[in-house]
Amino acid sequence: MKITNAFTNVMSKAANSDFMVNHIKKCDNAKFLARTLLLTSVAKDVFAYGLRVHNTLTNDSIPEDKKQFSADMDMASGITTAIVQIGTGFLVSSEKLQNGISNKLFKSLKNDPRAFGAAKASFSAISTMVFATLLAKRILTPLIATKIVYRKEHKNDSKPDKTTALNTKA
Amino acid sequence: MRAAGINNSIPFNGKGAAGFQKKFANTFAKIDGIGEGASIAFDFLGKALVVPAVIMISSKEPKEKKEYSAFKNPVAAVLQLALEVPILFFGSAAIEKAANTGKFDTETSNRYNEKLHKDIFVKELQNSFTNDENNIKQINETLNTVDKKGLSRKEIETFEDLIKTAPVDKKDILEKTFSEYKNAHTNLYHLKNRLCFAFAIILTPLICYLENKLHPIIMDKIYEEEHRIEEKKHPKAKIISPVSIDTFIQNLKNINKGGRR
Repeated sequence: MKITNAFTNVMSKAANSDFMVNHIKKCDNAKFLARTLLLTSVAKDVFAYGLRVHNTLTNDSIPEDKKQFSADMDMASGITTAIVQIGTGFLVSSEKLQNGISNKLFKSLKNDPRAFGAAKASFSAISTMVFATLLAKRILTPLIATKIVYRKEHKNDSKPDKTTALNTKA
Repeated sequence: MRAAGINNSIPFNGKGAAGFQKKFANTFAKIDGIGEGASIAFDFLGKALVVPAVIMISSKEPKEKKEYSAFKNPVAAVLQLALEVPILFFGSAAIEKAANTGKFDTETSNRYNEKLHKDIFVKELQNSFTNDENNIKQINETLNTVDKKGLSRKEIETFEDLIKTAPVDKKDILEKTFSEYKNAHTNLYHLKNRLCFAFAIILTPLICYLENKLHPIIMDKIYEEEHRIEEKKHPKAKIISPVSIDTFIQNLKNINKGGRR
């Protein structure tokens, strides 16, 4: 009971802190809200990938031949997901872009501001989910990360061996 | 996207294209936000199926190597669904309960107490339509939906329409109390999101730790199974064990004597 009360008090202090109150006021702005949600999602992903890299490298039950590749994939995914998600999210949540697309897609609702607003809000939510969550996070990120890791693992493959080069010269 | 293309690039058959565009627009207008469940399912499927598939298709590394990294994602997705989702769900419900019972109220503000503001608004609404049976029926139906699903766009529109038809002397108080109810609802929604984000960050090390422990065990099982199937398909030829020269000579002697080994 005491723990619950202490927990509720901490929550209440956090909820009524100047930072939280000001932050929630700013969330009235759709652009600010969309970007906050995006940045919190990216922050959580980067934190998780960082932990994964550390855990993989220190895990003795992972075979040595797969350990480095697995850690490299996590690191490349962490960096790529941050860049790709922020880029896609900022693009998708751009008011100018959303207005342009909505004006074209929903022009039949122009005379009904309420329906137009509703359609625009739904489109914004769905497009953010499809482009930022699925396309950027789940398709582009692993696609780019595998290429980065492949390059890193095989960067010496194309370089001619020093001794071979000398022999050829001779 | 497709609808925009059809509408702009095909000038003929205007009726069909315009009809499709109208239907498409109306469908979006009717969608009442994306539910939390849809969002979780979308994320789970992406992590459990799409990421491993992309890694397996796009990576040029040997199969076992890329498989090892790719299969980490379904393990993480299952752990997330089994641990993070229920904790965040119950955490969110606990925050809502605390806010609605006044635990987050201060002397100067009750900005998160949605229930308090809802009760004030509902009281004013019922007082404004005491003699109108149709409106009372609509109010009760809408309130039932709010109790079950929470305040969503459709209900907000219904209340706004009702306020428009309210007696002139009641309009101001109804608009004020409804605005406060909506604000409390939005404040609580954002608070839940931010506190759940903090919970999720705290949970992340635990989920990563479990993932790190479970993933190699699962991979070992998968490889064991793969090798078993492979051996069944292509049984290895029996290798004759090498023998020392002394044993070889002894065996020869045994054969000469008529014995067999």
